[in-house]
Amino acid sequence: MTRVSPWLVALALLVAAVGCADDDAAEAAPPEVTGAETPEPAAPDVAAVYATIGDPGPDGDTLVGASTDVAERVELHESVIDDDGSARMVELEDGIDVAAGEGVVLERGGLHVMLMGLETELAEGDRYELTLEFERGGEVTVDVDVVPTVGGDDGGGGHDGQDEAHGDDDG
Amino acid sequence: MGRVRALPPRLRALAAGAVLLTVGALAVLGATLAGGADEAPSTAALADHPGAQLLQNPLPNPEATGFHGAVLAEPIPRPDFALTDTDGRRFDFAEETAGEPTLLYVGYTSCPDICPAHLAQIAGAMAEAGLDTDELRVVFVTADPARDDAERLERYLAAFDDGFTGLTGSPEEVDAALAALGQPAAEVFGERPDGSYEVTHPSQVLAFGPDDRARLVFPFGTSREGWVADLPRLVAGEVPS
Ligand SMILES: [Cu+2]
Repeated sequence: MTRVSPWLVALALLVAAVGCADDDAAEAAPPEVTGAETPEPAAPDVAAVYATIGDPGPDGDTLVGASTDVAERVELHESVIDDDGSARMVELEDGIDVAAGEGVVLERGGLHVMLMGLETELAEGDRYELTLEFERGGEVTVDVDVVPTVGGDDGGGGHDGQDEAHGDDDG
Repeated sequence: MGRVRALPPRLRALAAGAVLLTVGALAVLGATLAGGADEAPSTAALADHPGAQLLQNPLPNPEATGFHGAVLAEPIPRPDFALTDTDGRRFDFAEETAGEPTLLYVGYTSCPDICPAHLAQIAGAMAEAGLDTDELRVVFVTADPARDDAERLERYLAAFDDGFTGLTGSPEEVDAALAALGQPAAEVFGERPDGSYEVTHPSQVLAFGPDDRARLVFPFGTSREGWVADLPRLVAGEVPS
């Protein structure tokens, strides 16, 4: 006859309980955020953050806010070019939709996190922390790299698809 | 006034409607005569200026034109306006840049996205194409003269290329510069409790050739390769056909 030690039973229950807690946390996990960068700001007080926000899972998510120690205020913005060719930057008070199965890209000339009232000078090569708050997934803190003001192709997403639209013909 | 007040309410409404219709018809007629029936009144006044083409947001068609910038149907002459440069000198744009290939862009330094991305793209493309600001002038006019004084402008532009020229002035002078380009005045919006705000501005960069005409405009989103391909041709005085 085999006797099961009560201690082993207790340990098994504990492991199961911890396992469950882990599962709950995974369900509410924020989407993966990669490539977070800020071009070294040319102005002394404002800067933009660009990043790729990964697939939030089948339920989708919304980026509802952001915060950082390097700026007084952080807003979620979108630059838009109107039909008359004029440029405007608007605050997205309802947040940025992170599409289920897709995610979203914050890039030049489009969606961005905007830092206002910079309290720390950001220079190329610096790295600072930015906390992104998602409606479902909660908070995630990412490292943002400060990249050169004048870097590679800064043309943004090519709003009208010019040039990029022909990129596939080369193959 | 007295006569309208004496009318029964229904007729009064009709009379008021007739007045509105007449005013509306005159406005439409005025806009039509000015060349843009579907434009807002403020832009209708500018509609016969070739710069009004920018308000149609012309798109490039590299396959048809061979250029990555958008080719304008009607060239825009080098505009005549005077502002102040970052050394505090009076800068008469048409006079100072006459005969020199020039890129002209209107923006503001508190814009962290489109403006720096455009200027970075220009600086990067010029470096890649081996062009300096002696060969291709780059002039940035602030749409936000209240915040962009000479010192702020100079420091901002130096982050891209210290050969870029920054121009500011009184709000009236900036509006006059925009009008000389056939553009409506910049609009302030999105005021925040701390006093900060945003400003609208044309999203395109105008490219003037040595013949003092802009035949190309570069919309935001023009690729680095597109800029690198077009700029040396602009400097060489090549004219899109
Ligand atoms: Cu912004």
